Amino acid sequence: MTALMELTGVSKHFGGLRALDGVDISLEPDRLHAIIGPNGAGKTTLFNVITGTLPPTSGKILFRGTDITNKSPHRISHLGLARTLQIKSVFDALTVEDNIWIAAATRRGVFRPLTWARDDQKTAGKVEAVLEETGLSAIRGETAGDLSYGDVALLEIGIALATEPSLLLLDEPICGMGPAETQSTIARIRALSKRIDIIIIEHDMPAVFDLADEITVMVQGQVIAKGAPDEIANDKAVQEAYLGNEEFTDA
Amino acid sequence: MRTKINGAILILLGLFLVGAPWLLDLFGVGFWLDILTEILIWSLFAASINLLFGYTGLLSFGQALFFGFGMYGVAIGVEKLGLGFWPALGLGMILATSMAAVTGALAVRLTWHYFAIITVVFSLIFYFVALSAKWLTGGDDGTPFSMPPMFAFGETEISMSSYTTQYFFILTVVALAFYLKYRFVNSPLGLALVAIRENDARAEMIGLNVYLLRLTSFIAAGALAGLSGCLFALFGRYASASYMFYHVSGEGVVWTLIGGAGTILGPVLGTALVIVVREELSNVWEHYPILVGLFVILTVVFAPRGLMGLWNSLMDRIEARFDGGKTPTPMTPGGGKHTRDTTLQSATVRPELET
Repeated sequence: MTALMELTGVSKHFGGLRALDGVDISLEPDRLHAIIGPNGAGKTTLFNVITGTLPPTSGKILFRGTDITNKSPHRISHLGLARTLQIKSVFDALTVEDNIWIAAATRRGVFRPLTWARDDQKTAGKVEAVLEETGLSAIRGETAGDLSYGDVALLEIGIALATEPSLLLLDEPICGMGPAETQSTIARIRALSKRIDIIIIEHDMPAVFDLADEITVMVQGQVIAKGAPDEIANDKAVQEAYLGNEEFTDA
Repeated sequence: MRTKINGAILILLGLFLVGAPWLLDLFGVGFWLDILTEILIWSLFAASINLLFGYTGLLSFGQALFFGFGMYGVAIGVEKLGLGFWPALGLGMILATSMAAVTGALAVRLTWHYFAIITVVFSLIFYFVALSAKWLTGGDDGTPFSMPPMFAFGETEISMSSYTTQYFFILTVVALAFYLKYRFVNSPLGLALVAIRENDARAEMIGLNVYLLRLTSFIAAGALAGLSGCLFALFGRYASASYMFYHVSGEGVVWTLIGGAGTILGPVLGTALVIVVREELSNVWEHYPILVGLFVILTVVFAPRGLMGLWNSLMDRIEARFDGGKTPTPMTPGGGKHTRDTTLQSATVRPELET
């Protein structure tokens, strides 16, 4: 079976800092993967390198067998890979609906200068489906820049879903959400994972151990462990890395 | 409510423009027809800057380059190559658009001030090239030419030497160009440009080829500026390097900012206003640009979306009062930003609201 994501010797150096230091991971499809690790472990850099936002210093990245190393982000997006960002980043001046509209329209191509955007029924249908799935229908007309933090986090997911990905990378999707929002978002992510592959970075350990089928642990730019949640919880190396870290002992 | 008011204003504007040759005569100010023609041409130039700045987020100070190429294309086409009216117009458009493609391929790799600087540099380079290439451009003297007829059927000729014909030809071309631009910014492509303006990194991540889209916008804007240059050459019967200088680009930016970037008709309003002020004041007070400058500062500080932005927020309020708050109220926390953003949004994504 082709691996969902296969990284061989992937490094990313920023001057003297080795944000990623020879990462080898092979993730299987049809599972909800989580990547955890202390701050500065290189988790977000890993997402940036996978999605083409940052070119790796060295190494090779295969997405379902296709080499995506050094491909531009828009190309990688069209291969079915979408992500959300830790530092929320949406189209502030546009409404919620239009944020999702433009993401959905990319699948039909946007080089249609002499057609009316509002006549595009297929894209409109997709937008409705995403609004429904993310529960954003009620605030569809609101300007994205005016949304609460939790709603922006949901919109992030909505934008990513509108690009019809087969793999979704979520970077701290529930960070900044209240308890009720957290619960409903976790439920949404679990429901989504039945349909598409998901890799999630999250600091909320109860959420991670609740959601993930498989956990990869990163420390200082390297992968130190990978396995099922109970294996990870009992892993010596992981416990050492997290020693004294309340987040982890809570789990 | 808003649609009705805006629609009524648009119809009145249309009627005025169509009836202008007779209306202006009726009030004994027939010479204003020339000024009106000039406003039409320059508003197309402002529309070019607006497409880049208002809709794509790229502030160009070099659009005069493409204006100049359009001008020279027409003038050199007629005078040196002996082309007729339409081929000369075509030459101007081809020159301006291909120049935009070449410079754009380099310029849109940059953004913000780097982009602004490189556009100035390009226009300066070609300004000096045009000045020194006397054999082709006439240098300081420019290239005057005699107007070829538009159509000739045996003895009958239709030509721009008739003021009314000239006015209606230019009005038709400008109206057509604005209609195309309106369709363009309300197409999926136009919305993709707005997404890039808002957040280029995110736009790239959702699968938009940001470089190619910016280049497309740059070429389209170059074509608009080129078209206004062609029309201006036909209008003045000559081409001159002075119109390629960067202060011309700067004036276009001023018109766009005053009228309202990111709205279709904002630049028309800004252009009209500044040109009318110039016509009324330049003979009385030679330092009138101070007044224009002051107005720009006031606009940028107090009405960042320009006059059209002010108009749109006024409409928001009227609607909120009369239609029971169907539209988002501008009184939410962070009100200033909200008002600005909604007007901008309505200008780009809800075409029926546009003025």
